[in-house]
Amino acid sequence: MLRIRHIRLRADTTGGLYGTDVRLDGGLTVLHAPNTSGKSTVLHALLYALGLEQMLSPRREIPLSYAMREYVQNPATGVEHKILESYVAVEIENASGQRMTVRRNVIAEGDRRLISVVGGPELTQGPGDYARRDYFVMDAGGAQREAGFHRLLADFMGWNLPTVKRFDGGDCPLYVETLFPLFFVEQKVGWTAIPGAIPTQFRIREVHRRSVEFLMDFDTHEMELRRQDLDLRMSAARTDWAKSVDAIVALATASGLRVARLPMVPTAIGSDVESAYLEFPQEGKWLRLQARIAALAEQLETLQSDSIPEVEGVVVGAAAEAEALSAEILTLNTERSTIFRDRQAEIVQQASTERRIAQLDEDLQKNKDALKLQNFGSKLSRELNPNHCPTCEQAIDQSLLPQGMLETVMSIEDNIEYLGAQRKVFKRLADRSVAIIRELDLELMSTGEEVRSKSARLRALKSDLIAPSHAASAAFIEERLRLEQELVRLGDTVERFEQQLNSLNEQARVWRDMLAERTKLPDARLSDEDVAKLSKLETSIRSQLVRYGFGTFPAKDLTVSRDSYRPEKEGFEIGFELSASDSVRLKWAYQLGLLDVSHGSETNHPGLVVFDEPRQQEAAEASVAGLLSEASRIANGRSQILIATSEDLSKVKGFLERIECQLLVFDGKMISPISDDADY
Amino acid sequence: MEEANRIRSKLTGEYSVTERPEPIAGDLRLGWGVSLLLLVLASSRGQRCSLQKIHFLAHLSRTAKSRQQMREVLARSRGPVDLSVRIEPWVNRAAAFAAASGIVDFRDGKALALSAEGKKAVAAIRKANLLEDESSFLEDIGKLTTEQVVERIMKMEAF
Repeated sequence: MLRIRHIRLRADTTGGLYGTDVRLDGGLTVLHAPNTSGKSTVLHALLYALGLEQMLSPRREIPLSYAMREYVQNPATGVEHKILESYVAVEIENASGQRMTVRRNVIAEGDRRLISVVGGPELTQGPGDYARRDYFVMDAGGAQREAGFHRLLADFMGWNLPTVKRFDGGDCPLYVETLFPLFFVEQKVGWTAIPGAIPTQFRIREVHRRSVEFLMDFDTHEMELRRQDLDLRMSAARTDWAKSVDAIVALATASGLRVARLPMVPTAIGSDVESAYLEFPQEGKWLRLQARIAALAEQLETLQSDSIPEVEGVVVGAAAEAEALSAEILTLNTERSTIFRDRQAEIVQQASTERRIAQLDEDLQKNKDALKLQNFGSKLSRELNPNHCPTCEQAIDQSLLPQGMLETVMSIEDNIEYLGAQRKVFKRLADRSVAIIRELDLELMSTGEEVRSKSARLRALKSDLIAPSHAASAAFIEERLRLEQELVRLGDTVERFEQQLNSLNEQARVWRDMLAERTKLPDARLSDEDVAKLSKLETSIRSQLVRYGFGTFPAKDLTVSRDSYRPEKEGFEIGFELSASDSVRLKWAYQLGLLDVSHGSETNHPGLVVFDEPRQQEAAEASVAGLLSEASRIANGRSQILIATSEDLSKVKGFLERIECQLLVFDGKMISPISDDADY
Repeated sequence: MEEANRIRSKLTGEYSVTERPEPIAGDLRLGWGVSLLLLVLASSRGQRCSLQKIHFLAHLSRTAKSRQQMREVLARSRGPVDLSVRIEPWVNRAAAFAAASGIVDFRDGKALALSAEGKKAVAAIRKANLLEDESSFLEDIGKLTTEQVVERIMKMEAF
């Protein structure tokens, strides 16, 4: 909570001390003074004292009129007096009744970034024995470091500022400058936007939404953080999955096998993972590895049950088999050399594609540089990138080819698109090459295996043919050994494959948990409580609009967007279709509505609304009467509302007849000579 | 021919042809070429150099491969024979535009120097990190590549 108790402006001039004091009783206050009397200066002084000038403009300048910076005019004589020194001071109070006086120099020797803080009600009750300390504003860390005034201010108001994302990806606190525009409507820029003229120079992402969410204390902020965290974990899980899949594929390829039905992207269904299996190639077809293992085992069993034959008995068959085997090996080798040639051709193709991609990248970079050069700044870009011949002023092509050689040169933007499109195509080609080479490698591997085993068999057969007739058949023994080895090798591969599938299954379980967590997060961004607050805001705005005589469309058609928190009609944001007076009425209703919601709901609203010159000239008189009575209803002893106006005094008095409020009237210039001052 | 006539007989209505803009390589863009020329000059002693050296460096700083080769030649790990030396017509055009815009000055018809405006332009290009690779290459090798070194490489002599 924040209450403004007293605002003091002082300027020491060549003609004596000038200044003004505004003491506020804490409820609805109407500050009345004629135009150009210094009302805005007083309200700007309040912002300046609190170090909030960046709320008005990103420039770091004093947002105060000449009357606080250069000279003041004596109201009686009209003589101008130069200002020697000046300062502003504000006394504020928080929810626990604690008071604090802050003072900041405008024209003075010291550093303007310093704010002196006195821990007591020095302006209302005079100097006392209070703690004093200097804090700084406007420097990096003003909102975070212990000596930063905005950190003190946030603590004082009971605000625990959330950390938000910036456009550059970094984090920063939600600066107080982005929150004040939601309840402090400044005259020059404040009336233009709903929810408020929130400064964007801090480069905070979706700053309008973040500030309303904080002020209304929506749960959605917390929810967003959890969602972001889950997204991060899920993308890490996706990477892990891809790594595991790569490892499994590598294992299969190394044994001349391939994996079928392996889920390439994370799945929550364990049986999907378990249904993956290994395949082996046989005569150009891929068959299940289990079938092969069974067949090999059966063969081995037959061989083991037979006794080892002597060479004499097998020699006739061996001769025929050896011949057939030689022919088969020959065919296989021819096949292999074709595969090898294809592979070499693909590698050449791949290299040339890579080269082309590198060239395109280089050209793309050059074009991007050229584009930046083109958009450089007026004079420089004319020098580097003339549209016209600097000598004869004829139009020229944007190229260094001989002029007139091309009919029209593509614009750099289009050229960049064009290169990007080409790059995409070549990238696809390169990916294809990688896949083809992998496939060919696999074929080479499996046919190589086949050639090796057939050659071994051939050697054994040949040794049988020249062996003495009663020797044991080497071919028979070789086949048995070969089968045994093959079974061991395949068994080993299958075992490792299954281990990896198990770990993938574990990942599937984790993935399922994360999916469950995601479904548990509410679909809607907003919690029920948030929605209740928003509909309360809607109700408040609608009832106020009726009082203000809003006429563009029936007030009941107005809703507040669940997304941007801006007022909408039938789902469309309200913009130019409003008349000038109605857009002012809507602004009043929205800002007071935010305060209205804070009564009875938990929010971070400081219970303070300041309207500087609420554009009454654009709204009808009846509306102003409505505004004052609604403000009084909403303030109702619980909140502070300060309205500065230059409306005709007798009318204002009329409007305020049956309204309980503090009316402060200044006849002439608010900043005037002060004879007796209890300065501190 | 018969077919052509048949097609022509069908084309009785009015038709128009739209001019399609043609893409060109990034280094043939006016702004890019002029900027590279400025960077070449900025990398040389006294911010001036002969037309021969401009052509030599402008061509070599254009691609990653040629930049690497030039670095190796200067490091004596490769002979001058391996360098491709070209006279690029676009460099002359860039020089003509730059001179007309007042960012470079011709000296005796055989050398170019940066003008005060040109120096400002170079500072702006470097500050914006444009032509980063080319710029850092030229900064590395610019001072080493004296007129004499260029002369020798052109004559394929050891240096």
